[in-house]
Amino acid sequence: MKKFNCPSCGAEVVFNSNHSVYAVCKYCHSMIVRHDLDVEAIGTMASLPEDMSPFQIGTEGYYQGTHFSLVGRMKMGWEDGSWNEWFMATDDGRKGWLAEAQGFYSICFEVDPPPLEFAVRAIQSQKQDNQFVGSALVLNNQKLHIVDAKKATCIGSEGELPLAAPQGRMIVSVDLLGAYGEFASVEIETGKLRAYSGRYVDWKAMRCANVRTFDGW
Amino acid sequence: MAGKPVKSFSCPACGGIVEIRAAGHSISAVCTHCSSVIDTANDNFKIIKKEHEASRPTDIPIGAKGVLDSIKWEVIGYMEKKDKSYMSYWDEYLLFNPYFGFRFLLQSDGHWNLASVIKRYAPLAGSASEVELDREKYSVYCRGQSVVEYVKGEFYWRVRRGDEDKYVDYIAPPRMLTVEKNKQEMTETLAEYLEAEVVAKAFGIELPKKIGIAPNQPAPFYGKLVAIWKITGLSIFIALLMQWSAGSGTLLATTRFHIEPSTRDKTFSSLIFNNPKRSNLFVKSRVPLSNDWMELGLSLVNEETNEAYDALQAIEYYSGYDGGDYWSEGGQVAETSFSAIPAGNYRLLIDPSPGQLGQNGLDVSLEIKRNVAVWSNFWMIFLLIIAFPVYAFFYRWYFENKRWENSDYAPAIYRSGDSDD
Repeated sequence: MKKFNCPSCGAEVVFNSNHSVYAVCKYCHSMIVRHDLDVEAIGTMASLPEDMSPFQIGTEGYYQGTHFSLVGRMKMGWEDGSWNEWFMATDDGRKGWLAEAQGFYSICFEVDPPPLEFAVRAIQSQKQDNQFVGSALVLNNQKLHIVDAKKATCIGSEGELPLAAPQGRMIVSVDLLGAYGEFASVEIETGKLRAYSGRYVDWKAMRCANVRTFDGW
Repeated sequence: MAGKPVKSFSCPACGGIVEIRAAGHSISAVCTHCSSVIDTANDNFKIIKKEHEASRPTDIPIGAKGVLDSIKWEVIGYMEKKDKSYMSYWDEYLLFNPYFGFRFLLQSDGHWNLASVIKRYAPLAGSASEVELDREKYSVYCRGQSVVEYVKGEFYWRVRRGDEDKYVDYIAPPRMLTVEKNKQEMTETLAEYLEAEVVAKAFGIELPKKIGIAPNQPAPFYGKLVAIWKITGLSIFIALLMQWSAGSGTLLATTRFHIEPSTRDKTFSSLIFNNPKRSNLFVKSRVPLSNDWMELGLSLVNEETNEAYDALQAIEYYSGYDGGDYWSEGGQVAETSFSAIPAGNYRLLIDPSPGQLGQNGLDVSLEIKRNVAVWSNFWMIFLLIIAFPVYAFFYRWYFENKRWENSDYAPAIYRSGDSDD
């Protein structure tokens, strides 16, 4: 854990995860980028649109026996809606994400470096050519199939993240699915490529604590 | 931080207030006032389809909350769908819970299903006639094309009247797997049959009348057949054991007397014997007759209550030599049973009526036994035991036959009778 002062308002900004390089100040909403020794403000983040997500920064849970807590969020939008990507600080120090879309939850960890064949196929499917949808790839010994590829834009972010996520950051996201609920995604950002692999998880199985509450629920 | 459960905005078409219950998820909503479909993916609220019509009532109203599968759900959307070729209609309610996500509550001919989209890659689903899911085989039941006829509420996809999907239903009662395909995507939905009463209780509503048998309605005695056969087997085994343990019975008394012309009108009596528990009593009489007959009037008298059980035994035996062959007719033994004789001390009175009765008279000997196995009783019990399982078997067969009547893909055993195609 590392602590800095917000270059804009002076409030304390905490980086819980060693992977985090970017944070949004919870008081003044300044976007802060962490360098080796200091931090720099790169602009202000508008507040995120209201949603019915059960998660918030500080929500804790378990994935395959490992405890995690959510430290940051990136809200992504595309032509048919939006989804949340929650960055997790895990007890085993892996770079994990909890994605939340249409009431489904998946937990993935970054595969670093992304496998080349996988990357090439993902880039090809970026063209949104339907013939790539359904093609099979193997990642981390899991056989997966491309189910969709979509262009998405960052609507906003909060908390701390392992990458800078200002509003308007554009990516192409390719989703892959296995026969038993295995999940993977490849994210293509100009000049950069990231691969994540994991699986769909049930709400109950995560045994979440410190979740959001809603009146009447 | 507690979230606001309902978000509202003004309809861009009519200005009426429209509520959103699954903010962040819903990307299209139908105006409650003018039925226009509005894009709610962002705060621009573009009109997808303008309408001017009042909304239609539904069995379960939008906004109703109820507990199904031990989870509280809110009804946030409704679609009426139609099959293009079969002209059948069904309802699809979209249910939402901020923690558990979405479910579909389906109603067709008064039969209900609770369904959820599943995230499994199954490339063959849709073309195969059988698919496997969680080690269970699903058989194709129906292939069709659905059309959205009417929409109400909000949806996490862009909904439109007239939207078409190709679908294939696979069944493994009480479950049904539906594979839907349109130009953009393929969705797999796993449904489980719900008793209508469960839905009525959950939402406190009156339900449409059930018609026929649903494709994935659990068969009668679903999951109980193995238990039924086990109980049947065990019952037969116990009946047999009782039969064998009873065997040829327990000897209670024997009695013997001599009858001659001077004593032909005398009544004889056995010694007092005790029947320890309610059971049947068998009296076996043996008279060494030859070409003669004798009737024995038996009266079993309870020493304490004087209650009497009467029976009549007839014994006759004839034999001879005729045309080089020996012949005989009748026998020298007779057996009579008294059923369900209560416990107590008894005496057997014997009132013989002899036939010819020669000068030397005859020795009559009697044996009284209790708890003698009676096979006819066993067979009656056996029939009683198997009546229910046999009924269950045939009823089930009849039910499965009915289930597959509406399918073009009925298994061969349920296809008998209509060989028209």
